[in-house]
Amino acid sequence: MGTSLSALAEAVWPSVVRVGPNGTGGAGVVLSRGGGLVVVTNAHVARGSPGDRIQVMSHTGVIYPGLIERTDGGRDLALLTLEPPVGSSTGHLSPATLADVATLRPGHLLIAVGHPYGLANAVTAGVVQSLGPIASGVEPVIGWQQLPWIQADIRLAPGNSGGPLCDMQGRVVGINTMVARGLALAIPASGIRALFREPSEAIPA
Amino acid sequence: MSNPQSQNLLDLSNQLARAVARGAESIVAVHARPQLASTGVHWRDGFVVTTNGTVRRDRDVAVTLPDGTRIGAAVQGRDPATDLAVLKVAGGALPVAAFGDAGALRPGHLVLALARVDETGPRAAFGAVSVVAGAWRPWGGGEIDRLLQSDVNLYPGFGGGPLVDTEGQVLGINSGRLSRPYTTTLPVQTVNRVLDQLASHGYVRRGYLGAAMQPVRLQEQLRSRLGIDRDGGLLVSTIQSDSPSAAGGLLVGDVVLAIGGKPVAEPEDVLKVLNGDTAGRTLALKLVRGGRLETVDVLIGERPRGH
Repeated sequence: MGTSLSALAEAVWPSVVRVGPNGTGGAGVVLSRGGGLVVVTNAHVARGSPGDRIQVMSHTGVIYPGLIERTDGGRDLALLTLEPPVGSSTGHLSPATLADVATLRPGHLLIAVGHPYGLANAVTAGVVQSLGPIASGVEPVIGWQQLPWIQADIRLAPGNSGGPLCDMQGRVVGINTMVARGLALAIPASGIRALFREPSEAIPA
Repeated sequence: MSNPQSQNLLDLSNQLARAVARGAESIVAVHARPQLASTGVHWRDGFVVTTNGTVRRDRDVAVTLPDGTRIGAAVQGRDPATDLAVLKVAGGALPVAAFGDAGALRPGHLVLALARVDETGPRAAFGAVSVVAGAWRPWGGGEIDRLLQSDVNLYPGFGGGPLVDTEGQVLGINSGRLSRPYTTTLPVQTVNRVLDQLASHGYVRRGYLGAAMQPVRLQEQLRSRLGIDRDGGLLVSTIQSDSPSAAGGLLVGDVVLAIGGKPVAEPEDVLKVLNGDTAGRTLALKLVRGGRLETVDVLIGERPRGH
């Protein structure tokens, strides 16, 4: 289990970037769109409006100037493009594959990759704790509680935000977004697909 | 990801998800406190086991079944000494738990904690067995047959739920109250013993002697003359009137060596014997009286409740 988890993490690294200047901010996931590469992260990591410039850094340390294309405050997601446009793989960046979260069940193994407290490309492992809204009684009812979360029994910290939560095939099942009472909350891959599909739903952060 | 190692990882992932699904078939959400529900295990048909600490009321208790339906439950009994409580539900409402072999557990074995807090489906946390050791006694004084601790995170609502192996078989009940520093699981053997008592009496009967004793050493000369192979026993210092000890003829000054065939050297040893199913049974007390070995038969009483 040990060796194959590290092989899995190494396979995921080229799809994970740092978002924000000089290692501040959080993480992001590289995805392919129309033959080019884009980056998905949390709106609270991008912290800007469409058209704002933002720095993206590969796991190897190469800096790519980026632009905020769109933000979705309701889902806490942001879509970034790279300027100038970058092809489908550069050796430093490689797109991730999105998983079908409909087959995900509590107990499935996961890894998270991100930059907790600025520690680059850190890997943590855990399992799916549950799927769906936060159980009432755990937290006071506020808007985000009702989102269709992937709730994960995995250790996350500030700097993991925007980074990938992956299954044992290295596919992205969600974007790590927040921690509530020690429980990691990720926006499911279906939310990323919706961000790609429905630009009209976009709400400025 | 097609190399054999990754396939192993994918297989393990799917096995853990199957273990959760299997174990979750016999767990319910227990609604017996103001906010978040806790978890219970359908241990025997019609009996759900959970932790005493999560059952805050005796009336208006309900459970949510795996299919999402909510049914009424009655508090059958509680044992604060082991932090266990038993609820009575309608028979046949859901499958009865399957039990694993806790005796085979070693530190490092992979385990899952399961929970159900509402109708949305089971919850799981993952980790490894940290400590396995012999019998112990928590602050409340109950006898726990085996120490089983793991690094599994008990999230809100996980108390009273099962620790399961990678086949989804139940190893015991997770107690939030007893979990320091690691998650502590009350083993199947302990739960069975407490459930037997709660199901038949509604509370746990513990034996009662009504005598105070303290450890004492015996002179070597006396030990060799009587053929005693231990340093000493327990000196009877007080006998309560109208107690089983008084009725049986125990005397202040007797030095008790064994009760019911079990050697006693510390007051703890006496509690251990009495915590078994001894109330109502006659046990032989082997003792030294006036420099001679004697045996006194005592009809063990029932410890007054709340003591």
